Amino acid sequence: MLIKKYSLEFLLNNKNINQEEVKKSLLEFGDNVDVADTSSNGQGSLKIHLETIDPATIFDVCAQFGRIGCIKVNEII
Amino acid sequence: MRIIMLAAKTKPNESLLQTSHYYQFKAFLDKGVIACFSNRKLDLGFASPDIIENRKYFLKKTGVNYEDLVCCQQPHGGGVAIIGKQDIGKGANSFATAVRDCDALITDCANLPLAVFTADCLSLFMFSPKKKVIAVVHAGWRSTKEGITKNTLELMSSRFGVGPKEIMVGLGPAIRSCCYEITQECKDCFQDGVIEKNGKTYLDLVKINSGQLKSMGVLSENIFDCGFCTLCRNDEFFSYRKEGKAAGRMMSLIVFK
Repeated sequence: MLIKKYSLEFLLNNKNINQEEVKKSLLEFGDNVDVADTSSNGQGSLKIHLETIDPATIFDVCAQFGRIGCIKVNEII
Repeated sequence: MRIIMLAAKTKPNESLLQTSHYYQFKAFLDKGVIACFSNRKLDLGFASPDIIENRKYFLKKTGVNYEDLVCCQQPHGGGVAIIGKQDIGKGANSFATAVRDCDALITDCANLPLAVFTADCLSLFMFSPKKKVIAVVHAGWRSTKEGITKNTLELMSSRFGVGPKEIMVGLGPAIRSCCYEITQECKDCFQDGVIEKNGKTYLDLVKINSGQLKSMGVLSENIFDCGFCTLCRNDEFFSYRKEGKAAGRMMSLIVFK
């Protein structure tokens, strides 16, 4: 059995994005979840940082809220 | 009567060969290409605690060395990557090493297995018999909106000279229009493939992606649809909509020898 944990950082872009709703959805799938509002000039954007064993599901969940970009992934365990 | 109905339900599509752990497209096999998708007997996704054992076991059945496998991070965008020998093993056993910023992979290298992972999203397999080029695509609604299938075919064409009329396409399991209820935001992204039924809105990912292919000149007779709905057939496939966090991932694999 091998459980790997990843540090995942990315931007989530959508003009109507809801910071609290995104954070609430991610708490189930990750630890140390940080969702910061980086919107500017009417362009909605969140910077997301978390630790997870299931990065694919994080993308599946976040893709429902907006466009994912600027991804950084590191294995931490 | 019940027995007859169950038997009919489990009968594979005529374009497929069924084995204990996966389905394979016959038309591709006839051309020397393995294009197959796993069932739910093994969780082959990155979060599986048995990722290495499961992938080794499954890939051995298809004649592939698991350490050669190339996967992508699937961020639900429109990105496509061309894969060469230097990429062998990217994502074979860790999400961190998987190919970044893309949901589709293309290669013209023999014995270079490409895979995407799904649990409701549509997987597509592409092969040009003339140019010996293969591709695999992960198409959720947002990637579909970004034109992932169209982008893949365009790159196969511009980089390798693949013509749409020669290309063969396999459509893997996905949540189908019978079950894929969508949000208003998703609905607003599409003109075709949206179905209103009993006050609810559903999306037909297969129709939209097939439509993208046909509009580019791919022949209907060269498109092979497995026909499986992951939610209706949750007994055989993983479905994120049905199972949530507990859902594993099926592998869609393509390789030519």
